[in-house]
Amino acid sequence: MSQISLVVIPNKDYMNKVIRISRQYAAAYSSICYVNMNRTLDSLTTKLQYANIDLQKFMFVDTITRPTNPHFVELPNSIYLDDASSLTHLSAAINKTLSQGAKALIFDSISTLFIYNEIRHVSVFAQNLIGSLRKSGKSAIFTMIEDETKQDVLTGLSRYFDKVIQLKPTPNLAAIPVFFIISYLAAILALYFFDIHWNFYPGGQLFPPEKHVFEDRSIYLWGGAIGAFIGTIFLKII
Amino acid sequence: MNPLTYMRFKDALKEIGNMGSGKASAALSRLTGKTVMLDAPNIHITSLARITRYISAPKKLIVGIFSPVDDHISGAMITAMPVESAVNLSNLVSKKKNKVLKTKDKETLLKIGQLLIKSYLQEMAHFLKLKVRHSRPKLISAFGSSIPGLMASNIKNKEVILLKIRFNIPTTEIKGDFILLLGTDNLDNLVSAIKDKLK
Repeated sequence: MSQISLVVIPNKDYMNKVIRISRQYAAAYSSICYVNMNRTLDSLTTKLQYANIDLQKFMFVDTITRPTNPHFVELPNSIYLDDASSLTHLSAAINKTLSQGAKALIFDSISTLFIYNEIRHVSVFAQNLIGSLRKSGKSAIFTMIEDETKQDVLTGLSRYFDKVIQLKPTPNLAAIPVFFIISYLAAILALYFFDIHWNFYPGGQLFPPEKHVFEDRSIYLWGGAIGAFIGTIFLKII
Repeated sequence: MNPLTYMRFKDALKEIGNMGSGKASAALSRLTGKTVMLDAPNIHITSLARITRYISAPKKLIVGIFSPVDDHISGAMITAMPVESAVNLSNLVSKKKNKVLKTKDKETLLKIGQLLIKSYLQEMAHFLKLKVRHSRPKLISAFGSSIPGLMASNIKNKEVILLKIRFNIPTTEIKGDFILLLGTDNLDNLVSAIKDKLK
């Protein structure tokens, strides 16, 4: 059964999420039409290959390679357009690829169409394309780039889709232990300097420091932990 | 190249970038009737794989006016702007209030791009007494992070010289980058041209 979805992807994670979508589609369908509008096909196929996705399953409609690289080598079953602005040419190329046996469509991305076309024209284009996908029982995912998406545009378009999914950025959890350690060390260092700062005054002995502000050394433990906690939050925010 | 020669080369290239972008911004200023502000040029000699980090808006959609460059030096040049800036620039020049880039606006941007690229490269070529040709510019839209990939197709080796200058037109929300990307196979030609000039 055909399932047609609109996925709004955060800019930060855009490529990773698109690769994940491609992997899921490559696992589910024998042949996929991929509309590529945001990077050279060379760069996209390299990323797909790097993610161990079978390229043989993809038929590309590309709008970016031809204008930027006059010496590009054409991939089989792929259509190269001169630019991304003509909805008529784009529609014809997609329909041709779908008629050649593509079982599903990944449209990357509908946001690019809004650079050159009014909302109403993109709506008509999406409506017609979705209509023909439904008629032929094919599934599709249309992507939108979060920062380039206005709410009224999203509301207007969402009625044509079975599902609208707004993805959240993947939190970078790997950085947290590093931030914590850096913050802990910084807090300990700050506490130590404060602890021995009396020795910097005339008459003080620095090596080894003879006067200490803190009598209880446990402050290094809990003070360091508090500093690490605050520092981690600060580093995470910036 | 020893570190001192490298630093001098970078400084010289920065100056040349300043001259080129100065000429291009003067042309843009004449066209728009507005003052165009330029940041200090950034020069990076790095690998192709690492240049994404030097691009201003890697995670945003950009509009670029792109042209391959060849003859004594070979590479590519792009004037890259966020989408809103491209629409604003086209509106400013053609005195319209469009919200998207229609066919006429694309032509306007291509003419602007042609003028900027020509001014920039002419100044550079004239100063260094080099022959530099550029092809008819193309208008592209892409993710900022894919700019290096777009430009790389015109570069033979994996080490590149990236010369980037930010521009903005105050009070109009138009901002962007002039980016010249050359393969390091151009180093010899550039160094000898700079040396000749400094004699």
